[in-house]
Amino acid sequence: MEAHRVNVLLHAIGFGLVTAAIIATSAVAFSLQYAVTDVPNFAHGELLTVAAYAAYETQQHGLGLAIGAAAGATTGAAVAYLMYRLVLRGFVWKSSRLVYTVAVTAGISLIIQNGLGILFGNAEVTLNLPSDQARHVGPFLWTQTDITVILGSLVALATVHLTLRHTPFGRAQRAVADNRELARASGLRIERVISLTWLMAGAVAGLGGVALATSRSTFGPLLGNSFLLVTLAAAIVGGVGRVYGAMIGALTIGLVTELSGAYFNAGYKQVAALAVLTLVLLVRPSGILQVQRTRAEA
Amino acid sequence: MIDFMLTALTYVAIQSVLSLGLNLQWGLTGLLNLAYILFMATGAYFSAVVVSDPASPPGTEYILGLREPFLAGVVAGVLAATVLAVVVGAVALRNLRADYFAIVTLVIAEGTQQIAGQFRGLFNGSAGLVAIPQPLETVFQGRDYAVFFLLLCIGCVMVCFVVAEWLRKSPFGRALRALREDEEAASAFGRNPYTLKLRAFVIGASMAGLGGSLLGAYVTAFAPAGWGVAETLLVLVCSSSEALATALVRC
Repeated sequence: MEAHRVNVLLHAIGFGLVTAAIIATSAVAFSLQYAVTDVPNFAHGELLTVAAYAAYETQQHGLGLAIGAAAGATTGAAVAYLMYRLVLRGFVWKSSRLVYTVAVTAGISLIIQNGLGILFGNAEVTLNLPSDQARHVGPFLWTQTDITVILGSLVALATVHLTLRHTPFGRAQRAVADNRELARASGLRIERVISLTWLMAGAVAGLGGVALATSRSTFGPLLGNSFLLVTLAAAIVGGVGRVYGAMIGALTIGLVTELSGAYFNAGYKQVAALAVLTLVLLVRPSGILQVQRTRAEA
Repeated sequence: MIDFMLTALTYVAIQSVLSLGLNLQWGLTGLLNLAYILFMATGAYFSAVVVSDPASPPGTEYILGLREPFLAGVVAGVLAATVLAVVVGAVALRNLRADYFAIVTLVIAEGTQQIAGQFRGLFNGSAGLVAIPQPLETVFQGRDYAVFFLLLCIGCVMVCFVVAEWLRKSPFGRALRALREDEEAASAFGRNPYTLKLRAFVIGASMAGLGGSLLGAYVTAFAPAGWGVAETLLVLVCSSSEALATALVRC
């Protein structure tokens, strides 16, 4: 009995880690893009969806999942970049820009959802996965796909970390996130940094989308939108716009939702996510990585 | 044609109540509340379960079912929305950044919508409530009833309008506007941004509760599907300015 209980717990933690890995890629992309470009992107979920469909499309042409992931990242990056260059750039400098960005990104999200519905149909499509057995890895029970998702996510997060900390571009990104005017005054090409950040965040979100698609295996045009809730919850728990906070937030939300799903029923996952969110906001209004940030209200 | 006009005007009146509430939050205070629709839904659901018989029509499940009169239902709906607003506002307003508030309220709206859809015992899950009893439905018939309901809604609009105008012109309203324009300056003059915003948020939400109660009773049905973020944006677009009169005209 005792052993069984420990097993349930370990399996739930195992699932939680896989979920956390997917949430982390999505939430880090959201937070990175938000911190640098200052646009809360409510069409973020659609970056995941287009990437998932890109992976599906490559698979229809007989290509492997690795190429699918690459295609997903590329598509995510391209869509994010175009979203900024073609649409959002025009609204960034408006005086009351928050409501514009909310309305415009929500609009983009609807357009992409319905566009995908036209292209691929609103019925769910199936991503074929290599059939594999779950096996014990340490204390956890994972399939090969789970392991790939976790490793892929770790690689993506490590790449974000190395870029931010150890490249001139990363330093420029941090400077723009910290104080845009000062960065401009120091001679940084803000416009270029912001465009490239959309590209980078889109690629990371795209990888997250492919990972999400492999974990669901069947999905429709609402795939990313349904994932926006946990993504934002993780980003908020970690402190919106804090890339490392998003990783911690993803771990928290991923584990809590899977554990609550294992012990109660799947319906309680949202309740658990909201409860964690509420608790964190009450104790630490700016998220777990709380740092006072002085910055004019937009 | 007259029936159509009556229906359209009733919707305009209900939408006006909703717009006035949102206008207090966003127009006056600058709170971009993406969970506004949640408070409308709370009003609709609670007033519905207070006036309905238990489990009617057969097969539906929901809490309460008190068979109380319409007025009690409206009071319950407004109260429920107000209480929920205190909780949500206390959580979401703790961090005073405007964009943070928008993101948090969006998450709360989506999360609660999914919860309402999943737990069938609460408000009949994703199927929602149907056959919500209407006030005085035995007294008036046909077109008379439509006129009666329209007048009821217009009465509510007038009450909300007077309250909103009074608040806007009061020292409280001035403080809110000061807060919207420059939070730091307002704090420097001894205003507490958190409590001011919370009060505006709660008053606006209670109007949302009233509008929701009316809408539920008018349509006689309510389900989580009619409660997306798209609906909030619609109300937002309708009431996107401080001037109350334009808020009324635009919807």
